[in-house]
Amino acid sequence: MDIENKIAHRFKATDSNLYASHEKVYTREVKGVFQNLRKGMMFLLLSLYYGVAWINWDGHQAVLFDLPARQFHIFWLTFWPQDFFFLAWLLIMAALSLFFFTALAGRLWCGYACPQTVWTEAFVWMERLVEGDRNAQKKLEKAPWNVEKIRKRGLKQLLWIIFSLWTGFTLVGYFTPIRELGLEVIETLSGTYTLGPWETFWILFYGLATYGNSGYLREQVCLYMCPYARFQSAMFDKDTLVISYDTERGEPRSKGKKRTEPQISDTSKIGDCIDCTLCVQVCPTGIDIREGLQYECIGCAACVDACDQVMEKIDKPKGLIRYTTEHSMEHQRTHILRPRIVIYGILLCALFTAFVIAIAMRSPLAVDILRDRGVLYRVIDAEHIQNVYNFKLMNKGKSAQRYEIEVLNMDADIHYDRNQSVNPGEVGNLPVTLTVNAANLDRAIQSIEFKINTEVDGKTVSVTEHSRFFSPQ
Amino acid sequence: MLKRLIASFKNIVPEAELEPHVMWRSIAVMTWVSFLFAGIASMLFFASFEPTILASLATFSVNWSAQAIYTLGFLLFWLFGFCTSLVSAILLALPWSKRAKHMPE
Repeated sequence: MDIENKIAHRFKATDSNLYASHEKVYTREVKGVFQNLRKGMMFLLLSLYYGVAWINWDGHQAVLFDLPARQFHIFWLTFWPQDFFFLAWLLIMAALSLFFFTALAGRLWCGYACPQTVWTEAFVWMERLVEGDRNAQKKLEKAPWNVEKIRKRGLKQLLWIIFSLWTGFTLVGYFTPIRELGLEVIETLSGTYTLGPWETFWILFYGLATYGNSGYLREQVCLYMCPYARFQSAMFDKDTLVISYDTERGEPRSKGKKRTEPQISDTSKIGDCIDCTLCVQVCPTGIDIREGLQYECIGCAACVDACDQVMEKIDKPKGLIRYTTEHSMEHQRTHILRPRIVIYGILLCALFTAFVIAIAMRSPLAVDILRDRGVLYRVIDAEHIQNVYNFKLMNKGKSAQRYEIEVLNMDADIHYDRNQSVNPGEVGNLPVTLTVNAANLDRAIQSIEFKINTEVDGKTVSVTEHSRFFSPQ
Repeated sequence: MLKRLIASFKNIVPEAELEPHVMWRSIAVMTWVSFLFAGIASMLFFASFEPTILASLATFSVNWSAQAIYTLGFLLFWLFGFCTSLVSAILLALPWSKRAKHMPE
């Protein structure tokens, strides 16, 4: 097919119903093991999000990303922009864990931990609370706009809007101290406008995003907007845990009287699926799992719980739809330890260990030594050579620092301002002059080692840095 | 005004003309993708450069708070990302005259 034909073909495909208009998915509520697990996760994650912002630690908000002061507080740790590398490291670890868990257990993230799923669940819960179950919601949709419908729809909107605004407020509360922000919001609501314009903007913006994503877009975010949903299949193999319908056991499906009709004498030809379509009704993305593994499936296991209930009722073994692997479906052995799992696992462990060690050993002082660019060296007299350095001292601690500098591998006379102090979070410039007896120098360029000491909380912290000493020899 | 804007958009993204919500979908995708990268870009940028110092170095007088600079910086990254996506989408779509050959109706 040449390129023009391909394009023509593409437009023909577009012409049909590739872009069918969206219809709202009304999910049926289902109870079961996995749904309990999901609800537990949802409760845990939402409480963490809304709760952690209010915890105080050592006189400050425990988790606060203070952008104007350019410092991130996470419990007992404080990060400066110079620690950006830790953030990059953390992101690499997050990406690697996503690979690892996807290869091992499929879309665990989508089903149990993704904010889109968690907040959508919360919104669906509120919708159910006001409008009732799936059938009641469908009925209400078709009903004319009477008092009852206005009351229910209004109440739902009110709950959604309050919840969204609270979400936006909490997000801003991670960047501006949340208690002060709360007071400002209360004052603003009672008429005195003390809330900053940018805080207002972000509360409304994030509130609107939450409202739109969880109230209306829902599964469409996963289907059309999520990059992970599109590329996760590349990480799958035949040993990845997926949710699957056991076609061999379920087919041919039949329902109602057909199952007992006399013409089907051989009952072994009837599959276990009674075609009750519950698995379709409970699906938040509105797919039929019986059609095989689809990229739309977010792995929420609602169909597993729904089908298990039905199987229990009709006295068949559970697990017609279950967590399984492609290999197990083909009656082959499932291998948990595969090369990719081992490689991802080892990498992840190594990165994590190194991360923890690096954070634990983080020095409250960072030093850069720049040589004076103007003159290489200065001849003081027949015996003495002088070099000038500029020390850049970054105070990553919580109190002001003063410095003690010594030269380790050379007999030198060092001169600098011992009283100069650097405030927390700042970079100080300290000129240092070094005078050396020429008799001690045997090369024109000599490597030199500085040791910089400072007192932090009564303990001495030292950093060793290298530079070079130039002389005419 | 809005109607005219929508009409002109339909002229440049051919799929949008066939199904009206395709236009909204393309706009949503562009908005979302540029949002994602604006977030990463502002993180990298502001971790390296202090906004208030940058503002003091500006060629015109900028007297904004740090919050304002962070927010406007992010929105600017977003806007530019969106414009890039939009122009890419326009250019990736076949021009009208070429399309007419393939679609007799």
